Amino acid sequence: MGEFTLLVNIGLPLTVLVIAYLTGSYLERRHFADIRKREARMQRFPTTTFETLPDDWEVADCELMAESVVVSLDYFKRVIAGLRAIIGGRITTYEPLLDRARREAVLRVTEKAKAEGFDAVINLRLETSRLANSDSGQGIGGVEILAFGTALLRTQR
Amino acid sequence: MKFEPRPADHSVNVTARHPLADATILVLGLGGVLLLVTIVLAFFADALVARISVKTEMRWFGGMSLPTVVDEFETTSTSEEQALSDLLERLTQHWESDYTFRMRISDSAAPNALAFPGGLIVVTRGLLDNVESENELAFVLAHELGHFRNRDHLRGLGRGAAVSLVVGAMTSGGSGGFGFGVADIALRGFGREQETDADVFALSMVYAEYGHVGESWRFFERIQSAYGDGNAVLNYLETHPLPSSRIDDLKRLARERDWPTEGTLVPWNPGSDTPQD
Repeated sequence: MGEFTLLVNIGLPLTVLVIAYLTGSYLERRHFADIRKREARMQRFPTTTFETLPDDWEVADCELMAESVVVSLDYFKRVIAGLRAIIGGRITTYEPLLDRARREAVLRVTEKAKAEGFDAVINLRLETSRLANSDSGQGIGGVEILAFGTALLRTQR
Repeated sequence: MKFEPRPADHSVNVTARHPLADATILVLGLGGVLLLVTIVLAFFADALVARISVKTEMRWFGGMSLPTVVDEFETTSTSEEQALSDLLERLTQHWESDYTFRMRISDSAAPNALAFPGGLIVVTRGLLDNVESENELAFVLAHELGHFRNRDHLRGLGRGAAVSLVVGAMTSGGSGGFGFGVADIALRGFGREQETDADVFALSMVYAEYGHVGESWRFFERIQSAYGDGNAVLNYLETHPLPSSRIDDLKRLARERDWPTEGTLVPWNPGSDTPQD
């Protein structure tokens, strides 16, 4: 009798955990590889957090760029974070998630600015909002990062 | 100053430790602590139960009928129920206690017998319909008496409370399932030990009543032939010892104490007026 119950109670969650770990870490590796490649490509595109322009710049056009990204938690990360929440300490499984979301959001702003022909993005800001309903621990866990900045087009000399 | 763009260093934002290493430390560490807490709480519960006298237990639980635990009772007082009570009374003559025992028959088809706080013993229809001799039935009843002597039914309540405490503490952290799993497994060993103790007590009682222990393990033999021993790994998690190991233990005990394993069997056929040949 007990074998089936045991299978359902222990085997099933364990299987989901393993699948979540495999898919989660595969997607994460792939995303990081993609981010690094795109960051290298955007390396020479001026992006600053300054609110002011360099003195010798003359601006022909400007536009607000606001791009957001939402990255979901996987079951494995959530379970480990749940255990971590009992004893406290750094939730290291969440760190790559935030890092990915931040860098992806900044890339979306700069890539869009470049694609639309702008020369630089200044006054870049990051905002984060909480999608997960963390009061009850239920709901979809994830992170949303909004990046926005002012894209500038310089007058040609 | 000439500006030279460089790739940003992001390594500071992500801890280099492998997530699986983190998971292993967390699961083993927390599991170990929970195991310890459950065991300590269970010991406290046991110590508490030892201080509750049988008289107090009878006062608390004596009137309990437990309709929610056992599906349905057969209400008619048959000659079979009378015969059961007579058998139980003969057995209890070999053991002085403050308990007043009550026998009930449950409609369940699964062969089983259960001990409840307050001296209530429930045997199932499935057990009664399958026993081949009074000796076999006597061992099962004596096994339940063994649970009463060791106060296992009360200790079970105490340990249930211990598990609830641990699970409750974990649930506030959002990992109740993990806590329940650990606490449950921690107490399985206790459960098996209780069964073995009750078996030993039952065998000595059967010997005292009949002068031999023949057919005592017939019940386990039939369970084994019906269900087998099951999967060896999963059995580690079972609450009761394996039927085969219980049979072996009982046979060894009989050999050690020099109790004859064969003798005259008393037939069990209440309800039918014609005596069995």
